[in-house]
Amino acid sequence: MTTYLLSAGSPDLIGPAARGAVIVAFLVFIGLCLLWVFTLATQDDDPERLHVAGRSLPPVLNGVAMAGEQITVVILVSMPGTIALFGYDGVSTAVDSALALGVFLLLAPRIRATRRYTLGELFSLRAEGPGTRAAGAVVTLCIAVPLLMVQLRAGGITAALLIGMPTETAQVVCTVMMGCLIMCFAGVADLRGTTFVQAAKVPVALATLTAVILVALRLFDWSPASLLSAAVDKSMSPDEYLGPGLWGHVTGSGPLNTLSDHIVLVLGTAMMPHLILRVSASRDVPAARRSLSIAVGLTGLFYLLLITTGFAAAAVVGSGPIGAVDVKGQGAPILLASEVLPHHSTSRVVLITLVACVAFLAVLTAVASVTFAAAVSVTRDLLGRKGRARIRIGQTAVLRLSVVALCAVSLLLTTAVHRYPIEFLLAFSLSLAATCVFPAVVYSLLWSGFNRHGLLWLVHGGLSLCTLLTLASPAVSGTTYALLPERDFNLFPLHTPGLVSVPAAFLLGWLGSARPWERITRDRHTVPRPAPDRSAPGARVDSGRNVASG
Amino acid sequence: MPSAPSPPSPDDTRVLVTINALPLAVGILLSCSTRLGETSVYGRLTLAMGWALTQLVVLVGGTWWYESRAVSSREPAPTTTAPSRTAGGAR
Repeated sequence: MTTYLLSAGSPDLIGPAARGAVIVAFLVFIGLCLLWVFTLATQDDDPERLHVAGRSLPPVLNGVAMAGEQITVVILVSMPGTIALFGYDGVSTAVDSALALGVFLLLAPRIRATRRYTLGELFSLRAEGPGTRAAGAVVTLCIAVPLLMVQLRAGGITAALLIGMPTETAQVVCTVMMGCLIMCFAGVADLRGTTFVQAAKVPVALATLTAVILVALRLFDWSPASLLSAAVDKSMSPDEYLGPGLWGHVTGSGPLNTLSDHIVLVLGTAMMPHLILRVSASRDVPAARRSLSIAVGLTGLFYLLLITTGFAAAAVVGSGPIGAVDVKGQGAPILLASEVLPHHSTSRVVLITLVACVAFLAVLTAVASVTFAAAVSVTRDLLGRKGRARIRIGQTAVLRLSVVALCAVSLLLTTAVHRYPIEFLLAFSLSLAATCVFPAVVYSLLWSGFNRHGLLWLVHGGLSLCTLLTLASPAVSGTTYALLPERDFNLFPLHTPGLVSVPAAFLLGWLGSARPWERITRDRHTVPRPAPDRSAPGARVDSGRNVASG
Repeated sequence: MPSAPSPPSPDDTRVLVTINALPLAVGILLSCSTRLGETSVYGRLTLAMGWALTQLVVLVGGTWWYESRAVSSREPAPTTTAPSRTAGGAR
């Protein structure tokens, strides 16, 4: 199927008649957005107010903003496309992404209770020291930069589709222009500023998706069953469309691959550094839980609308034309908006413009949030107080410089690798979060025996394992959808490393903390004690020194 | 004056985890088994598709129930999860 999609031509999505109006309206929206953004710019130098809005965000506002964190440009444009092309496999991805917030709901109140908001600070709960802080910052950057690259690329592709030039050069130019605009926003905003934009994005996105779906349903006499039936009939494989296994990479290694994807999606999406930062902006622990509950409700609705949009795109446009525009289906929402209403109608221009504006808001907020969280981590964990004193620069200045540097580096990397399919980097980011962050946070919050050795083993081991397994996976070589399809060094059969790396990280954390071989050595050199003492529940196996000082 | 909402009881948390984990486990099973997942349940709707949508509804409903239990709860708050002094602290 992929070969068929690649061989097809790229149609003009909007048409020359509507393009001018759409582009003008889109540019006006961008201008208004940036004007609004600059009014939200802060001159506040207090780190607590700058990083976590003084922990003063009301639960409803923070909950809506948290739902906004889920509405990224990648999800907004890719997921309906994936559902339109691969049916159930795309739906399964959407459900996993929603369930991730359920996992975060269980951990968020505990995270808020610690009053720590960077990974480095969370990691040093049981293991104080610069090494653990640095490990937290490194993991944050390793998660953030690939994520930023994928987001910027998706934004560039969407903008290029919008202006009717889906060529490589146009995509690069659009990526650079959007990246520069976003850098301006990210460079001046604080968490409070991004919260307002995130919160504004949610109703706009939900309303736009609802409008697109309603207009599509009208074509099928308001019957969801007819819409689903048409989606199946217009798909590439009607017999397999609503069952598992249609997505290329899923079919490769069978159930283990699917299981690994589920683990990575659910645990990785739940443990993103920008979500941890946002939950720390809640007033208190109950407010954090309430924010998450609101976010789960809104996110559930968002994914339901996204799933329906995907099927509507397949029913109205058809899987073939969607795949012809972009193999990953990233043009699906714009294609649907352009095909669902009659050409030369004003309502069609309005609908396309709305979808384009939501996509711009999504890329603006997603990149700003991820960059801001990474910059806070650099400021607090990597440089620290001593580092800032050494270079004689304040915390706010370091934060701003970090934001601009991160945006610039991500933009540079995205431009440099624009010829390659880098979408696997999203899976890599999620794998890192699932492997390095989830086990470390769970151990730090729930196991008093977790110590510095365990943390460093877990984080460094997990990071290395994740990187090596991804490099040796079919996502990088040996398959038609790989980064280097003509090379073949795929020694690891799974598309994502989660099935191996997450249990391995838990094991490394336990081994490093408990160090059972030391107990065996100690037992050999000490006089045996009475049996009840040694088998007492909760008996410590590591030395007190490790727990106290790490 | 109404008392501040207290954290949900461990039982409520257990229920929330169970009602989401079990459907997730079944969902993973369905996504791994093509034959089982493609079973038709209503019209063209397959078992896998129906189950995925049910998971979404259960997540949202379960979270709403969990939050309402937390708000209506009058139980004393459990001990904090913040680390002890010996466990080290940031800043």
